[in-house]
Amino acid sequence: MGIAQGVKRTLMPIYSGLKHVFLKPYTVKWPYEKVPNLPDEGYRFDPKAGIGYPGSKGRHMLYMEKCTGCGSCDLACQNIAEAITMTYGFDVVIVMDEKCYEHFKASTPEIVGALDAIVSSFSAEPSYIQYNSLSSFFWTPTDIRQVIKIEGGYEIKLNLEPIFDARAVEILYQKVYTAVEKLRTAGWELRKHEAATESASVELSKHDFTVKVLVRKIDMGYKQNKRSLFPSVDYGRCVMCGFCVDACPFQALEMTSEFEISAISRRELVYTPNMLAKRPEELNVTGVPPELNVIERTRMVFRRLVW
Amino acid sequence: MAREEVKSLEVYEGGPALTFSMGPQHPGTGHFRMILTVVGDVVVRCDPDPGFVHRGEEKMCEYKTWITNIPHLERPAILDSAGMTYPYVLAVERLMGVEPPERAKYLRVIMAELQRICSHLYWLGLMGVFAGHATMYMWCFGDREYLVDLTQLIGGQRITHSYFVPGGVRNDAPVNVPKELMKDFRRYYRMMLGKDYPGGEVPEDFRKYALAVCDFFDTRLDEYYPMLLDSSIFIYRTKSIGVLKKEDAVSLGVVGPVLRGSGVKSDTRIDEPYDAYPYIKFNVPTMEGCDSYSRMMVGYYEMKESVRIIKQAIEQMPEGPVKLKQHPVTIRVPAGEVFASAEAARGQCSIYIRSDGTDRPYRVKICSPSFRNIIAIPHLIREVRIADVPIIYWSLNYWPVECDR
Amino acid sequence: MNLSVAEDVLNKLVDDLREKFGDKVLEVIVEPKKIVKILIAPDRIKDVAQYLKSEWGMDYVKGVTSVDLSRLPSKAQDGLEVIYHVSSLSSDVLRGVTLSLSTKVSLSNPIMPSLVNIWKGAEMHEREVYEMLGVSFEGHPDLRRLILPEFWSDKPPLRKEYVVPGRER
Repeated sequence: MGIAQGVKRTLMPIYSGLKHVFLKPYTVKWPYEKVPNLPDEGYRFDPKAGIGYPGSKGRHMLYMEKCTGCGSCDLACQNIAEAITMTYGFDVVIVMDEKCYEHFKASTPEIVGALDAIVSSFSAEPSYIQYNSLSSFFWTPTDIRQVIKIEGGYEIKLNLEPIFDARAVEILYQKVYTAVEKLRTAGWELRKHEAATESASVELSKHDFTVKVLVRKIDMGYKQNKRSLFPSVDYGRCVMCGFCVDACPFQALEMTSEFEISAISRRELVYTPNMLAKRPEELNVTGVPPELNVIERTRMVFRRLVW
Repeated sequence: MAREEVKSLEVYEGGPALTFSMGPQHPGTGHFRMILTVVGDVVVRCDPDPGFVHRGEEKMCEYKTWITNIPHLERPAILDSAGMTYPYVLAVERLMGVEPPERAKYLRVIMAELQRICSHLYWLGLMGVFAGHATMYMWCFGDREYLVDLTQLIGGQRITHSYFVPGGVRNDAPVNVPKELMKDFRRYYRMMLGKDYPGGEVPEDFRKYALAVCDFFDTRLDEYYPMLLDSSIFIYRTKSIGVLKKEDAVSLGVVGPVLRGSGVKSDTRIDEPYDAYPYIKFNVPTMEGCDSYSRMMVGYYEMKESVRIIKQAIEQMPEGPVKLKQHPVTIRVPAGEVFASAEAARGQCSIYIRSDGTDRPYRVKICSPSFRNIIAIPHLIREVRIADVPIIYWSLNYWPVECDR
Repeated sequence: MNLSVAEDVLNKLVDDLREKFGDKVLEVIVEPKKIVKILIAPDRIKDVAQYLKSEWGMDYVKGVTSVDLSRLPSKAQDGLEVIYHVSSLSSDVLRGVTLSLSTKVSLSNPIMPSLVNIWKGAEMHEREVYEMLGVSFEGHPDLRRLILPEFWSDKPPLRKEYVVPGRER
C-alpha cells in the first residue's frame, strides 16, 4: 500500500473531476427557460373513492360552479395554516336622495367635499390593516361620474370588481371610516351605523343633506351557492399540504402546478375567489430576453436547438 | 489529530482558557450554538446550547387534530419529512388497530428510502464543503434533483409532501412520467456520464423510470468514492477525528449512522420491522472505525442499500388500493398509549402518544434522532483542535430544527 | 423480532420484577404492538432501573417523557407521570423491545431521583423534562435549561395549565 495508495488517493479525485471539464454544461436560465421537471397535472381528490390523484401541489384552482360554500376547506385549514377564509363579494355604493343629488349637480361645496373625502379614502391604501383581515387587494375603480337612478334617489358605485371579505363591516372600517372621521370634524353628523356580516352602512347628515355609504353583498347567481360564499386563500400562510382539497366533498377545489407565487406586498398574496377561479397562465418559456447581448442570445437559441 | 497526540501537546497546559460561542449563526445547518472553552486552539470543553429554532411542536400537537398534525410534524426535518411522520402514522394506526393496504406499505417504503437518500446526499454534500471539497456539494445537489423529482411525482411537492396518513398513503404513484422530465433526465445522464442513455429512449412508465434513476444514481455513487471518500484530503481531515467508542455509543444512547459508525449493528428496520421492510432484503452497514470517517462511510453505504430497497420495492409492489376508506380529515382514535419507532434518515425516530379518545392527542412526545445525538457533542468535542469542530459536528448529521422541535 | 417471543420474554421480565419488588410495581400494561409499561413507586425507581440494567441488560435509553395527568377526561389525577423508554442493545432477545418504565410524582412537589448515574444517555432528556414540565431530578449532574430561552418566566410550557396565548379553547 503506502506510496501507491497515497498517489492513487491524490490523483483519482483529480481524474474523476477532470472528466467533467469536457462535458456539456447543464445550467438552465430560469425564468427565461422553464425548469422542466414538474408534473403538469395538479393534485385532485375523489371524494367517492376517498383517494387522491398524484399531481403537483401548487396554487389552488376553484370551480365556482361546484362550490357550495360549505366551509369544509376552511375547517380543514383551521388547524393547519389558517390560510383559507370564507368570503363574500361586496359592492361599495354611495346613496343620495333626490335633493342631495340636485345640490351635487349644482356643485354645492359641502356635498362635493363629502363625496370627495369618501372616494379618496376609498382609493387610498388603508391606514391600518386589521390583524388577519382579508380584504382583497386588487380592485378597479369605476368612473364615478356614472350615477345610477334608483328608487327614491341616486347611487354611485365605487368599485368595478367585487371586493372580497369575510365581513362587510371590515371594508367599512378599513376603506371608508377615515373619511367618516374627517367629515365628523367638518360638522357632519353620523346618524345611523349598521354593522353586520353581510351588509354594513353609514349614514351622514348635515343641514338637510343625507349621504349614505352602503356596503352590500353581491349575489353571484350560482344555484348551488345561495349565500355566494367562496374561499379565499392567503398564500403568505398556505403550506400547500392539500388537505383542503381532500376535505372538499364536491371536487370544487383542486391544486395546479403553478408554484411561482410571489408578490411585493403581503396583501397581494391573498387570492380572492375570482383569482382562484382562473386557470394559471401557461408556464411557458418567456423567450430570449431582449436585454441580453447578441452573443448570449445566440448561445441561448443554439442551446435550445441542440437539446 | 488523535486525542493522544493533542494530550501530548504540553505547551498548552496551564495556559489561559478562553470561552466563546460558536454560532448561533449556522455552524453548519441551522441555528445552534456551542459554547467552547479553548486553551490555545485546543477545545477543552464544549457546552451545546440548542433551542434557537424551538417551535413547540409537542404543545402544538395537543391543539390540532389527528390528521392536521401531519403537515406541521414534518417541518422539523423537511429534508426527511417521511422519516419524521412515519412513526406518528404508525403510532396512530396501532392505536386505531388498523393495517394499511399492501400497496401503501410499499409506497411508504419507497418514499421513506428516497427521502433517506436525499437527506444523506445533503449530508455528504455539506461534508464536502466542511472538508474543503466544493465539487462534492455540486455533485450531490445535482444528482439529488432527480430523486427529489421522483418524490415530487409521487407526493406532489419537492420536500414536504404530507404523504403518509393513518390508514395508507394519500395517493397512488403516477402511471407516466412527464415528457419533459424524460428529456431532461436524458440530457443530465449524458452530461454526467459522458455517454447516451443506453437504448436511446428514457422509459415513460413510472416504475421503469424510477428504476432507471436508481441505476443511474448507483453508478454515480461509485464515482463519489474516488472523488471524496477515498481522496487524501478527506481522509486526513476525518480519520481518527471524533472517536466515539462502541460502549460509549451504547451508554450515551446515540442513534442512526452515529451508532452504526461505532460498530453497533442496530437498525429499526431490522430490529422492529414495520410495513414492507420484512419482505425486503438489505444489509445494515456498520464500520468499526468509530471516527468521523466511519460515520460518513456508513451514510455512503446506506445510500447504496436504499437504492437496493427501492429497486426491490418497485419490483415487488402489488396492485390494489392504497388507502383505507375513512374520513379524509376528521378521524377519532381510541384512548390508549403507544410508543412507535421508525428509522428516519438520521436514525431512529420514536413517538410516544397518549390518547384520551377525543379528536386530538392528549400528549405527543417526539424522540427525534438529532436530540438523541446531541449528547455526543460535548463528549466528542473535547481535546480536539478548533478546526476539527465543524467536521465532528457535521459527521453526527446533527439537524438543529429536528433537535429543538 | 418475533412478537410472540417478545411477549413471552416480557411476561417473564414482569414476573421477575413483581417477585423482586412486590407491591412497588403498581401497574403493568403489556401490549407488545403498542406499549409495555411498568409503573413503579418513585422511591424504588432507582433500584428497579439498576436491576433492569444489570440483570436484563437494559442499557439503551430511547427517551424520557412526562405526561401531565390533570386533564385526563377518564381519570384525572393530580400528578405527573415520568416515563423512561429503555431498550437493550447487548441482549439479542430484548433488542427490538422498548420497555416504558414509569413513575408518578405530584404536581405540586415534582421531585424524583435522577437516573443519569445508571443510564448516562438520559442526561439531556431529563434536562428537557425539567424545563418543559418542571420535574426536578435529584442527583442530576447538570440540571439546567436546555431548549427554552433564558427569559422564560412562565409556567412549564408542556403542563396542561399553561395555555398558549391566543389559543384558549
